[in-house]
Amino acid sequence: MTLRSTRVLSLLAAGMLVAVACGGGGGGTPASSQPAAASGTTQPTGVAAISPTRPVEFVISTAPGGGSDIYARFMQGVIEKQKLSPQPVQPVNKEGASGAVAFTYVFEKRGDMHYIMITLNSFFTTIITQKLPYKATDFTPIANLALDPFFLWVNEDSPWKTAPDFVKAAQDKSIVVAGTGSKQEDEALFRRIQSTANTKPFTFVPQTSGATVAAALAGHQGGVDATVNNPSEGIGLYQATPRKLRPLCAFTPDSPAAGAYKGLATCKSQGLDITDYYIMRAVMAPPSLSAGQQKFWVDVFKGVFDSADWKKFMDDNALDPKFLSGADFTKFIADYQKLHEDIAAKNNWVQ
Amino acid sequence: MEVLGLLAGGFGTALQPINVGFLMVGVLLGLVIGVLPGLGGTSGVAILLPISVVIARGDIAGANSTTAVILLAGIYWGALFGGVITSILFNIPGEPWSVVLLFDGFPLAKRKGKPGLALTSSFVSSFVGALIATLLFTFLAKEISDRALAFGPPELFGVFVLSFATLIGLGAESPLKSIAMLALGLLLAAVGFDTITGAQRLNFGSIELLAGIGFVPVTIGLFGIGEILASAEEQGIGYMEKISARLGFSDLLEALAALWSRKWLVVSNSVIGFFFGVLPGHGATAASFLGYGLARQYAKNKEDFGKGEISGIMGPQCTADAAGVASLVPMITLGVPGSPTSAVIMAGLFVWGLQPGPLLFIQHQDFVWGLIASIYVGHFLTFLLCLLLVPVLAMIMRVPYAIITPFIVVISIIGSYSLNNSLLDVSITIVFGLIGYWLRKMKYPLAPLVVALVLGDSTERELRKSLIAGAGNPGIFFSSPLSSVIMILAVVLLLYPLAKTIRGRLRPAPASAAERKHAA
Repeated sequence: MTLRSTRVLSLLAAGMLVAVACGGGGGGTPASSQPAAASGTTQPTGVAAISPTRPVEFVISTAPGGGSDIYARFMQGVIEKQKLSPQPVQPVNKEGASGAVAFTYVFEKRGDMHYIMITLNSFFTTIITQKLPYKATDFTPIANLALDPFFLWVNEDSPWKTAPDFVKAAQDKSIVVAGTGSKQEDEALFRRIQSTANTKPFTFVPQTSGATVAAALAGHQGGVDATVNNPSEGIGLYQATPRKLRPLCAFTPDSPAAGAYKGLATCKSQGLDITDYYIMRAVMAPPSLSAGQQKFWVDVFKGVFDSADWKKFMDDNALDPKFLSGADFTKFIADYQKLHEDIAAKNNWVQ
Repeated sequence: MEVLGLLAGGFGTALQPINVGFLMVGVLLGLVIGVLPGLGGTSGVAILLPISVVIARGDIAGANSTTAVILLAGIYWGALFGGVITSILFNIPGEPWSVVLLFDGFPLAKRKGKPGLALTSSFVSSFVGALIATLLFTFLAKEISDRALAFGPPELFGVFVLSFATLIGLGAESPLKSIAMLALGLLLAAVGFDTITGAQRLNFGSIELLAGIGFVPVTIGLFGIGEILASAEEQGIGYMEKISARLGFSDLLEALAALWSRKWLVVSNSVIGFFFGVLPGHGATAASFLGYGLARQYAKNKEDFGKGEISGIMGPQCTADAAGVASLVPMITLGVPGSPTSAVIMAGLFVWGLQPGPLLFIQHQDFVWGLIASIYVGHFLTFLLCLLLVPVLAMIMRVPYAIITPFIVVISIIGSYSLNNSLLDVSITIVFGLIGYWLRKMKYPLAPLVVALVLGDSTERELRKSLIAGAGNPGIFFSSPLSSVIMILAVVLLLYPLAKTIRGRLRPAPASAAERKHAA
């Protein structure tokens, strides 16, 4: 009975998918371009920007309140405040399956500029490990607005005061660590630490969100002794009295120059040579947008990036503001695609 | 006491006309959002985030970020109360945390013909639960959230096993049918993305199914549509006729009397709900099931549960509301949200330029205490509004069957569509409507299916997380005093009914054994 009902369900589901896909195709934008509207562009390029003609969906791959959700809603607030888009931009949560639902939704909107999407590294990891029928490089790249660094965290009561203390302990026995999701960015970084510092394999306990990762470490839940939370995820427990978490080092080329973490040692200076791994906070669009449509969105997000609000948000959350678009961003995407393919292959993540 | 001074200051902020005004707007919106199935408190708060930015920015004279958070939290309070209305009147869950109200809320309203009493009981217990939780919030926020951090996967798994243990045998005439439904629920919960290994399970290659089968569209189908099909067969008999004529004040008196006779249940469930809500990531929904299970466990009249027992309304409702209030605690004290809705409110704080976490208490005292005071005011407002609405709402039950039925079907379909704007959810609702009808005919209990579907995922996740951390050794469940106590309690509760059955069978056993000997 159960099997049959599930099968009926999946048949129905397949039917629905087809219907949705066909319906979506009809709603595309006419190719005829609107005159370049109030995009406030300053970059002289050969292509005229094409504006959206109806409200835009800003697709978010996490649930309301998740990491990406906060970024997308913040960006949307700036777009609205600065009137960067002639059409409203509406955040829409399409959470589920570590981003696969959102990616597929946007992928199917080929050529339609009325859909944009906030992405993080799951844009690479999920597509690779779930063997989805497309690649990160198939989408139209818009811009990267920030790089969110990783820190190495321990509980305040931990005997490990420096990165070498941690590495030495990890070489002696398997340390229990926590991170968001399975085969996602946190685990990817721990596996890199494992091979860089030649430690025993970490026992990785997957959690549902960055916030629960930090909480698991603060409470030693199930024996968790270290995490690689982002600065913003750990800040509440870092600033608590008494302090609950302690960052040992930052996986960045330079120490944070300002803010709550000013002067924190880099992991490289402590002998753990990983400086090139970040969470990207980037905006992507469906495949095959025209150059003019792409330019419109690049201009909009350049406007967001240049706003005072965004600068304050970057400082408050110890983010590295880094604007990438055009060829630089395309190269960045290609590099991260390669990096994550390598990690997945090395750790046998794709079966 | 210092706290009382700060709270008085908070009331000064919360009672400013502009803040009361926006609180009222929030509560009303929340009630509407709560009543509409599908559109939940979480998405309701998310929809209003852009407006809250305008308010927090100070574009409206006298308003600031405190006004903004009061508005958003108001939506949450309204939704916590309002979700039960659709459950009780139409047998459709208005919110995830009111799914459990389908078990006894609708039977009391329909079969016993007391919609006013069912609604009032739920509102009264919501109010008391929220009040107890807010008092704990005011005086013990920091201490409790520090303790909650130590509550890891082994402890949580214990609590989930405890929930299952208290719910075993729910609505069952035949234990085998119960077990079958439990297994079906667990199987459905397993569909989709496995967050522990990243594997795809039972999705038949569909990416939409990869997100899993949501319990809200399933329960809308099983209960809402299923019930309509079943009563259509009876030509609507028993829907309206038995509705009591008296409305209003007498229901309130009866509900208060019922509350007084269950005061220890409500107080202990509210305290448990508060603690559960503080745990990061576990909101009102799981708490409501635990609350129902405990109410049933304490009760002497277990067989009345599922047939319109007031404890089956008050028990879960006060627990859910207390957990809802408590889910704001870790956000304020630690920067870790306690539930999806509080995660969205926390996103709001970020967007307004505030840093959630312990520094809020120091740097933004006005904000924190204004928010805490507004929880008292907000619940008082919501409670009054709801009581005034009861007679009107109860009247809906007298609308002729032929008119109300299509309306419920439409609400069910729109509700399940608006969950994720997904047609898959609509087909799930329809399919489970048919399944629900068939299960009713075959006398399979629906409650075990729903319990397993709602709690199955989290239970599995905490079990596997514990075992990963413990390197596969189940000894981890007894590694801390806290988890040992919870596990032992859960195991005892699980085995108790079994032991009782065996003892019941053993008593006549000597005679039959003797007979068998003779026969041999």
